[in-house]
Amino acid sequence: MNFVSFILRRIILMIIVLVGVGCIVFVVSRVIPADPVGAILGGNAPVEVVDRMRAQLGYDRPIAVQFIDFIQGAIRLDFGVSLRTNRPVMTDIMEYFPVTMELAIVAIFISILTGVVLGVLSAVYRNRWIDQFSRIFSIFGVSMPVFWTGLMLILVFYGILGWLPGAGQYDWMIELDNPLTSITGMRLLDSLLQGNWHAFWDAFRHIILPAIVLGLTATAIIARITRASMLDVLKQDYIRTAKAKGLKKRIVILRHALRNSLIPTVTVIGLTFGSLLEGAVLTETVFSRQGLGRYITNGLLGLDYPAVTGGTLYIALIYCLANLIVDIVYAILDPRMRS
Amino acid sequence: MKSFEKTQTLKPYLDDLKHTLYLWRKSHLTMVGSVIIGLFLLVAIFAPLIAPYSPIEQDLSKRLIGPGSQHFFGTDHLGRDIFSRVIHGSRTALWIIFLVSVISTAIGTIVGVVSGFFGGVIDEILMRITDMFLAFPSLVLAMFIAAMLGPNLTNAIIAISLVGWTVYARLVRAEAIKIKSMPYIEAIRSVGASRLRIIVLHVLPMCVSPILVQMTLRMGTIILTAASLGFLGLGAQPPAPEWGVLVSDGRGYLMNQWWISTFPGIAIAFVVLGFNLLGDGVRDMLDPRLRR
Amino acid sequence: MSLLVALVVVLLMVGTGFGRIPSDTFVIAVNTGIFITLDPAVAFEVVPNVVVDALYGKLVRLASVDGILTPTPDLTTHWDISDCGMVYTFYLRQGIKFSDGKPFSAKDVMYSIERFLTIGRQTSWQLEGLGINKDNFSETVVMIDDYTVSFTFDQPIAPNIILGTMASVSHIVNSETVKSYDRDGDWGEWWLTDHSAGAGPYTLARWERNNMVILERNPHFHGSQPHMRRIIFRDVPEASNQRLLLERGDADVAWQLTAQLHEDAIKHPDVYEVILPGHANEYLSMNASWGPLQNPKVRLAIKYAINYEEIIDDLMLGYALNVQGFVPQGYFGYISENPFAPDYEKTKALLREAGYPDGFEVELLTSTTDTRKMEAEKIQADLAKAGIQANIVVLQAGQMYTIMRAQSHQLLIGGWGNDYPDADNLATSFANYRAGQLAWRCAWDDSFAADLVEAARIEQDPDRRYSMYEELTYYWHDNGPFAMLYQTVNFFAVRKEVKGFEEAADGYHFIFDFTKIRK
Repeated sequence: MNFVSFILRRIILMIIVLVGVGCIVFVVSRVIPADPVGAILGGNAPVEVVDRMRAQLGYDRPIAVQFIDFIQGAIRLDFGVSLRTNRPVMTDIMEYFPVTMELAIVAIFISILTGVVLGVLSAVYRNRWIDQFSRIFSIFGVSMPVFWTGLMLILVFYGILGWLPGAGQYDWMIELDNPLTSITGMRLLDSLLQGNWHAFWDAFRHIILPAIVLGLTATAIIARITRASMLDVLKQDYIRTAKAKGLKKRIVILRHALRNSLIPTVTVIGLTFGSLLEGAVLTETVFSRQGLGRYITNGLLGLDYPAVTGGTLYIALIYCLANLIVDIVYAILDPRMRS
Repeated sequence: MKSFEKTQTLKPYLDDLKHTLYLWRKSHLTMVGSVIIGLFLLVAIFAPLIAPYSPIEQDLSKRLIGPGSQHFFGTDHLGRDIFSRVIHGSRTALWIIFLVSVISTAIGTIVGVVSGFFGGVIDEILMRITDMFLAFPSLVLAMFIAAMLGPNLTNAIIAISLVGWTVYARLVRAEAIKIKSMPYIEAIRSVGASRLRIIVLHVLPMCVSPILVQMTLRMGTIILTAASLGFLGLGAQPPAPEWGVLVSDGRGYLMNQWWISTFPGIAIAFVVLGFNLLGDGVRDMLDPRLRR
Repeated sequence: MSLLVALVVVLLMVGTGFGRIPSDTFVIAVNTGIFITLDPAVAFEVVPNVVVDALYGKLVRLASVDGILTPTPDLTTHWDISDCGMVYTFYLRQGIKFSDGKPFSAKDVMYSIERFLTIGRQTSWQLEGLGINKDNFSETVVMIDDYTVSFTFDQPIAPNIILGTMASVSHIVNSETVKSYDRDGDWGEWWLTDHSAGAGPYTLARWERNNMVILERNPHFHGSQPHMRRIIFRDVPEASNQRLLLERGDADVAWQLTAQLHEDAIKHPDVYEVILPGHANEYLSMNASWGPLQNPKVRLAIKYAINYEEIIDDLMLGYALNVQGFVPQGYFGYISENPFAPDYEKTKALLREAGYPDGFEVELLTSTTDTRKMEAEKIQADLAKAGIQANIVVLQAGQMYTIMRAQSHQLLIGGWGNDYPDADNLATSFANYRAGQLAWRCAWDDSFAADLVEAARIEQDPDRRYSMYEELTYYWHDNGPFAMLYQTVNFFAVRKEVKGFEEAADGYHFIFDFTKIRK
C-alpha cells in the first residue's frame, strides 16, 4: 500500500511540474522580440510577403488565444507544425527521438561495461597501476568538453587514420544496396530485427565514436562510484566471513560485493541519463546525427517556435519519466528509502 | 576578557585551521588541483602582462601559422595569436565563474531559506518550481534561455545562473529544516529573537561549508556549460576570446590547422580538472566524518 | 579480452574498404539542413532550387551563351512578344511526357502557374511584381489552345527582366498527378514537398531529411538521357567534413567550402578546382534611420574605412571580385570604377563634419557562417581605425533578416542572391525603397533613386538605359546606405574523376545543368 501511494504521489507531482514547464516554455518563447516568420522566408522576400505569411500561420493573434491553442494541443501531444520542416512537430519528434535514444542507450551500455569493469578492477587491485590509470581517466573524463573530444576523435579516427566514418548515421551506398525499413527508428535494432547484417555493421561503425564520446563522462563517474562502493563493501564483515569460509575470491567478488554495490551505481546511471541527454545535443551537432538534440538546437538557432516548445517539452517529459523510473527502481531495491 | 581567556576562546578555531591545512597538504590530488587553480587565477589576473600580443588585434599577413617560438599556440584565420587569446580567455572564464557562482548561490540560498524555514504552502510551491527547473537537462535549459534572451555573454551568464541555483536551494533548505527544529532555537525564540536574526546568525553559518563545497564542485560544470554555449554560438560573441568560442572558431580548420581548436580545448579540460580535484578535496576536508 | 578488442579493431578497419562511388553516380557533399521543401512553388533557397531545376522543366530556361546568361526555350519552341511589349505568347513543345508517362500540354502550364500564385509563398512576389497575381489570373494568363499560352504583364518592361523572371517561376508540374494528391485544397503541397512530378531530366527517388536526397534519371525525359544515372546530395553540414569526404573519395564535389578549406583541398592530387563568376554579392548595410547613420557623411565615412582589398585577398583568398556598385560584372549596366579604398584622413574629416569627432558606438549584425564571422571581425577592426566602435552580434541568417525587415538593425553584413540576371533586380533591391526590399529595410526613402530605378526598368533604348544606371550608381555611392564588399565568385573543389563540371556549373546559382556531368 505504501509503495502504491508513493508512486501515485510521484506521478501527480510529475504532472504538475510538466504543466509548469509547459507554461514557462511557452511564455519565454513568446516574450522574445525576434519574429520566427521572417526567419523562414529568407533574405530576398519583401515585407508584405512576410506579413501575409504571419497571418497565415496565426502568429498575429493575441497571446492569450495562442496560449490556449498551445495548451489544448499539448495535451493531445500536438505541438503544431514545424516552421522549418513543414511537418507536424510530433512527426519530427517521433523520427528524431529514437536516434537520440539509440545513441544514449549505446553510450550507457559502453559506459556501464567499461565503468564497472574499471571500477571493480580498481577496487580489487587497489593502488596498482590499473587503479592509478582508472582514477586519472575518471578525473579527465569529467573534465573534457564533449564537443572538443568529439572533434579531436573525428580528426584522429577519420581524418588521419580513416578507420571510422566521420559523420552521419549510415553510408548511403550501403543503404541503397541493403535498404532498411524503419520499425523502431533505431537503426541498430531495426537491422537486427530484419536480419540485415550489412546495415547493422554500418550503423554500428557510425555510432561507436559518438557513443564513446558521449559516454566518457558517465564512464568516469560510474568507474569512480563502482570503485568506491566496492571498496566499502569489500571491507564489510560478511565479505570477510565469506572469504574465511574459503569461497573463491572471484565468486566472492562477483556474487556479494558486486550486487551490493549496484544500488548506488543504479542511482548514478539514472543521474547520468540526464547528462547524456544534454551531451547528446553537442555530440549530435559535432557528428551530424539527426537526433532530437540537434533538432532542438537548430530550432533554437532558427527560431522555430513549435519545434522548440514541442521538443523541449518532450525532453522534459522523458527526463521526468526517467527520474521517476530511477526512483521506482531505487525504492524496489531498498525499502528503507521510501520515506 | 583577559588575554588568557581570549587565547583560550581562539584556540579551538586555530587548531581547526591547522588541521584543515594538514588535511589539505596530505592529499596529493587536492594539491594538484590547488596548484592548477592557483595558476589559473594568476594567469587571469595578470593576463595583460603575460600575453605577448593583443587578443583581438588582427594581422592578416600572419594567418594560420603553426605553433612555434614566435607564437606558442600558433595563429588563427585572422592572424591573431592564439596563446594570447587563450590567456585572455581565462579572464572571461573567471568572470563567468564568479558571477554565476554569486548569482546562483544568492538565488538558491534565498529560495532555500524561505522554503525550509517557513515551510507549509510556500515550501511546496517553491519546491515545485525547483522541480520545474530540474525537469530539463541543464544544458538544454541554458540554451533555451540564452537563445530567447539573445546571444551574448551577459545573457549566457544569466542563463547558466538560472540553471544552477537549484542545488543550493535544496542544500540550504535541508539545513534550515534541520536547524529550525532544534531545541535551542525554540529556546531563543521564546526569548523573543526575531526570525531574521535566527536565519542570519544561526541558519546561514551552518550552510557555509556545504555551500562552499558545492560551489567549488560546480565551477567546473559552469565552465563547461559556458564553453558549450560559446561553441554553439549562444554565448560570448566574436571577437571575445572565450574558450568555447575559440574551439568553435577552429572547426573549419580542423585538418590542417588543428592548433586553433586544440589548445583552447586543453585549457578548458585543465581548468575543469583543477576545479574537480579541488572540489573533491574541499569536500573531503570539510566532511566531519573524514576529519579524524 | 584483448583478443576481442583486436578483433573489433580489425573488423572496423575492414569496413573502410568498400565505399568508392560507382561511375554512374554523382555524390555532392552539401548542407541539406536548410531544405524545407522541394515543392517548386515554395522552394526558394539556392541549393533546393538546384534540385528543383533538375526535376522540373520550365517555359523559359537560362543558358550560358558565350558567357552571358540568356533566356532560352525549355518546354517551349519559341515565344512572341507583342508590339506593345506587354503580351508574351509561348508556343509549347509537343510530344513531351512527364516522369510518369503522362503527356504535357497547356493545361499543365495553367495549373502550375495558378498553383504558384495561389500558394503564394516566398517567391510568388516575383511574378506579382510584373502584374500577374491570383486575382487577375484568368484575365492575364490565357490558354489559347492545347499548346499555346499567353501572359499579359502590366508594363512594357524590358524582355530580359520578364523572361529572366519567368525562368525562375515557370516550373511546370504534372497537373493530373498533383491534383490527385490534393488535400483540402492545398494544391497537393503536402505531397510535392518530398515527391516530384515534373518533366526535368531527373526524378526525386528519395529525400530523407537531414540525411540525403537521391535523384534518378527520368526515363521519359525529352532530351538525351544524362550520363549520371543517380545524383546523391549527402547531408554534411560541417564544411571541414565536406572536405574530408572529398579527399577520401566519398564525395565527388564539396559544395560549400570556405576559401581556406578550398585552398587546402585543391592541394590534394585527386582534387581540382572550378572557378566561375558568381551571381550574388556581399554587402554592409547601414540603417539610415538610426543615430549617426542618418547622416550621409557618416555613411560615406564608413565606406572609406573598409579595406576591401584585404577582405578579398586575405579573407576570401582572392575568390571574390572587387565590385563596389550594385550592378555585377557581366551584366548590362556594370560600372567598373571602384571609388572606395581605406582613407582614414577622409573618414576623420567626414565624421568631424558630421558632428562625431570622437566616433561612436554601433551594433554590427551578421550571420553564423565562418565567412561572415570573419568579415565581421575584419570590418570591426577597420572601423576601429576610424574611431567607430562596432559590437558584433552573430545570429542565424533567418533571424538576422527578420531584424532587418523590421528596420531595427544598425549595421548588418548580408548577401543578395540575384533573382534574375538583369541590373534591374539589383537596382530595385538596393535603390528603390518602394519595392520593400533592401533599400526599404535600410529606411533609405530616396525618391530620386526610386524614380530612376523605375524609369530604367521600362527604358527600351539601351544607351539611355545604360546612362541611367550610371547616374544611379554614382548617386548611390555618395548617398546610399550600402558599402558593397564584393561580388561573389563560385569556387568548387571537384574530384578528378568528374568531367564537365565547369559546363554544368556555368551560370550557378541560376542554373546547374546535371546533364553535362560525366565520369
